Amino acid sequence: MDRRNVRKIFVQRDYSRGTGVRFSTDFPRELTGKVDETTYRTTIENVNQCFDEAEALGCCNVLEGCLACMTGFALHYCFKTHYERCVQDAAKYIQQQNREVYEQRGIILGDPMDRGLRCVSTLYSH
Amino acid sequence: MVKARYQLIMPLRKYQKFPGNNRFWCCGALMSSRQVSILIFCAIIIVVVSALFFAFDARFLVVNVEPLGVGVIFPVLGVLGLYFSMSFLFKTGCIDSGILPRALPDEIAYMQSQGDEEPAGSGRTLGAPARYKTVQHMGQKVKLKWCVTCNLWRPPRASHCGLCNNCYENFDHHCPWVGNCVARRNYRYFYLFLTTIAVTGVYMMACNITVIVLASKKMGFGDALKTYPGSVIEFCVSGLAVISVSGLSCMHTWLIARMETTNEDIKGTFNPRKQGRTVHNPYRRRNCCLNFLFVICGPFPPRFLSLIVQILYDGEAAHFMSQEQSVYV
Repeated sequence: MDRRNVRKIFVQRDYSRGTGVRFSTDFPRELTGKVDETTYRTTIENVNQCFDEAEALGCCNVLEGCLACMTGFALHYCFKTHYERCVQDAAKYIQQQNREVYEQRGIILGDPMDRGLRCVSTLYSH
Repeated sequence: MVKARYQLIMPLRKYQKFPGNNRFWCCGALMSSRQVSILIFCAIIIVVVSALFFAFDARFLVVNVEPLGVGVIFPVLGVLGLYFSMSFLFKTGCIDSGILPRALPDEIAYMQSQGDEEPAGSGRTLGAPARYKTVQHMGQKVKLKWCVTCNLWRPPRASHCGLCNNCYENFDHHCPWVGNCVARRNYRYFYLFLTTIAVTGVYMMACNITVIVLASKKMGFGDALKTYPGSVIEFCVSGLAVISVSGLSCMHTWLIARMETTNEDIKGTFNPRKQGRTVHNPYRRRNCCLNFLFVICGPFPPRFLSLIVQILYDGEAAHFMSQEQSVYV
């Protein structure tokens, strides 16, 4: 990618379902013609699912929380939390999608953790 | 005099260029607000009272409680109380409590190019971001406020702390006693700290009374007080702690049951009388037990700030990006 032709857009958070991490699946008009709308929506939806799993109140998560509470949260000095593992999964998925789908179309999706989970930065060649 | 021809570039860590009003330890791994003297005072009080307990009360109870051997439970419970109090105090006061990182220049430029969501009124330049924008949030319309310091749209329940100069997710309040803001990442530790101090304080007071009562049987009340002055000091300090912390602990128990933050309670965000319309709290779960389960055992969000990373000093902070930096050739 030539630096002079690179533009950035920032896909914002979608708060319609709550304060949980969810990014807007609205297709940015700047990417029209560069990538298929369905492909893009599927990618963002899969990223959203990683964070839904991170924030779910499932049995395993509650058990992890209870165990951590009983140890005075010293457990977190030894093991990664479920949320951190999900965040890593989301980052790996984005990297895989960039490698297989987006880079050949002149698009790079950024890791939302770099932006404090505020947005997904998207670089595209103009 | 020979002047140095080359300037030595010392690598800095990102926390040294952090714009908020915070104090850092362990190369940016730990952080709190600027004022930590009261936090240190609290920690010292807990340690001193515990030391007096182990030195006087625990030793007396181990020896004098019948049957022999049962008295061992007293110092064991004391150790647990000390461990959990200090652990929760540390986790409340010394971690990133949910700071939203400030927007980077490219993001700010993009937001400004988006234009006004709502007309901002006179005195504002065209194209500058509006102060508010309305979004759909769990079946209600919610206004997101633009933070002029952090250059971002504050998510619902987020607020900017003027003392720490940062935006926090699920901001509750700034607590000078723990030297940190109480927000999304440390609210459970704060609540557990209050509860542990209240319970441990009551336990210590009960032990003090037991020691004085048992000692009085042997030597009289006045002599018991003179022989075990540590118990008297502990009783007074624990009593003050229990009185001040119990009320706060009960208040936060009530807030968790209603799934509100202190900030929302003060502003009356979900109070129909203050809002003048039908509002409901969309964060409340089916029952109080689920609320408590979510707050205490729910997900543990990670910190967003990567402050330990080294940057080369180039006159202004370089920002670490995972993939974008590799784009440019």
